[in-house]
Amino acid sequence: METIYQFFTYPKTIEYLKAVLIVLVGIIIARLITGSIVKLLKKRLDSHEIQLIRRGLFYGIIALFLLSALNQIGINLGVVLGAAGILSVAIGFASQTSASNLISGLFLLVERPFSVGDVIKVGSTAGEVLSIDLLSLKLRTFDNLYVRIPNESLIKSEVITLTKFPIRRFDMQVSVAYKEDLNIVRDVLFEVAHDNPLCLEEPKPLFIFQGFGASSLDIQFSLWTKKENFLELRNTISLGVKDAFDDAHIEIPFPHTTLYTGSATDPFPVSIVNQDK
Amino acid sequence: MHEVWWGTFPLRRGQHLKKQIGPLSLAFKVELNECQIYYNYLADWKEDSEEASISLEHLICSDNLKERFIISNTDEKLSLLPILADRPVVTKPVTPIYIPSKQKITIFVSTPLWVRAEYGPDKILLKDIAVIRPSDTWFGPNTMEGEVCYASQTKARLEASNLSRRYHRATTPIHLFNDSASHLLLERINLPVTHLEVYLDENNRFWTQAVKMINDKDNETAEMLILPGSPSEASKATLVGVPREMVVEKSIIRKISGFFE
Repeated sequence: METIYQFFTYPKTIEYLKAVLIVLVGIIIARLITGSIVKLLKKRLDSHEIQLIRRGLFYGIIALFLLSALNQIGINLGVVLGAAGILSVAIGFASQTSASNLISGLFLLVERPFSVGDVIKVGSTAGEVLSIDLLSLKLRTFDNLYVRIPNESLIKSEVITLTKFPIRRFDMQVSVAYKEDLNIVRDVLFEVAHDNPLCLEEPKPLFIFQGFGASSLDIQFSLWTKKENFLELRNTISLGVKDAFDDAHIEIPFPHTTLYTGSATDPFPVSIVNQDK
Repeated sequence: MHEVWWGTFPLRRGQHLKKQIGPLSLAFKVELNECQIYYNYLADWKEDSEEASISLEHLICSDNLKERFIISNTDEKLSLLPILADRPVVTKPVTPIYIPSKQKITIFVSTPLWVRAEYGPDKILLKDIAVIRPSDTWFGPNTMEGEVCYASQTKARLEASNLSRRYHRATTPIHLFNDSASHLLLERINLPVTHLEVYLDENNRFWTQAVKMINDKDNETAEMLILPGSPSEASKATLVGVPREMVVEKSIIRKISGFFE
């Protein structure tokens, strides 16, 4: 009992206990302050920005109270700061990539090319943005895979935000046989578009003649729709065009090659061998 | 003869109710603790065509069963109310109209109605069903800013007496005034039908509140006022449908260039 009493009344022990108390109080104060500020800013900022502010504030306040606690137990802060300076230089050299990712993350935060919930395409990877973190971005692909993309590569490369604008254009490539009347094909396509309620009346669908292909006349038929309906339009319009072409007897040709023997009108000579086999 | 489809109808367990509204064939069937909604659209239906309908036996089948609502008390009445579209409607005159400088004109445009089904004294909202599912369209200065609306066409009648009576559409008188120094080309009108009330006149014709539009001198903005109450062309009109959204301010300034594009 006396040992315990002596332990708690020893001057150094009191200093250490004060230091621990300062840190604990600091943790509580940090939580209260960050909680209040997050509540105030919740409506003005998105989740990513709030997360950054919350973490920055929390650890900043903790660091202040930690320094105060160290000062309380008599540690020379000059030595600590000096050591921290040397350490940060060493860490800086070692973590150039991480620092680059961190800075890139801040640039992304300011530029806001996309937000959580948007669908983006980076290189050949497309998916929904789950979170935009300090060092990396997290995506969920359409086949439910989890992809981590470093922020540095997002700043350096092309990022396509598929859901930035409310409407999107679907470019359908259609090929018809050379014998078809393009005016009739055009009318059929526009009627299919008109009958599909997902296809926007404005901007008007576009009929673009692409060129005289090897086996067919190539056409691009572009239609606009709400971004949420893009996939459904893609499927329904393709089925609609196929059905309409069948009804109008418009041929969608297979790739084919025509052989000539030297004159367009002479038949190609064919002889049958080994009839018995 | 067109059937009056709106109103309140007793609908108890074991009973059914069928209505034909334009191309929409609609039926309600009440069983023990549930109300079933069946509907389908007539294929190849055309405006101003003779009334066609699906028989009850063909309508009430599993293919047309769209919703089932579980209701504890199925000894009540069903209300069918007319309501306007759930998005603004962009209506295009069949032929573009020019309004010379300082000219005033009133045109009448109609937009398709929705049917709102409510059950019981508590007015349990069952469903809003479009009588005609209009095509989507975009209205805005470019493909980045604007809003998704419904598309409609109008003959832009200039006299109320020339309007056809259709039980599935509501007519909006639009008072236009060209305050600019040049001709105004009226190619499309964005009607904020979500803010409009529906009235029924003594001839069983549906109307909405009248709308007044004044484009300013630079043709960049157009002030639109929703005039309170039933329009003057609707004689002895009664309010039958409420707006989906209440208007906070009386006038809505559209800062979309080419509002009247």
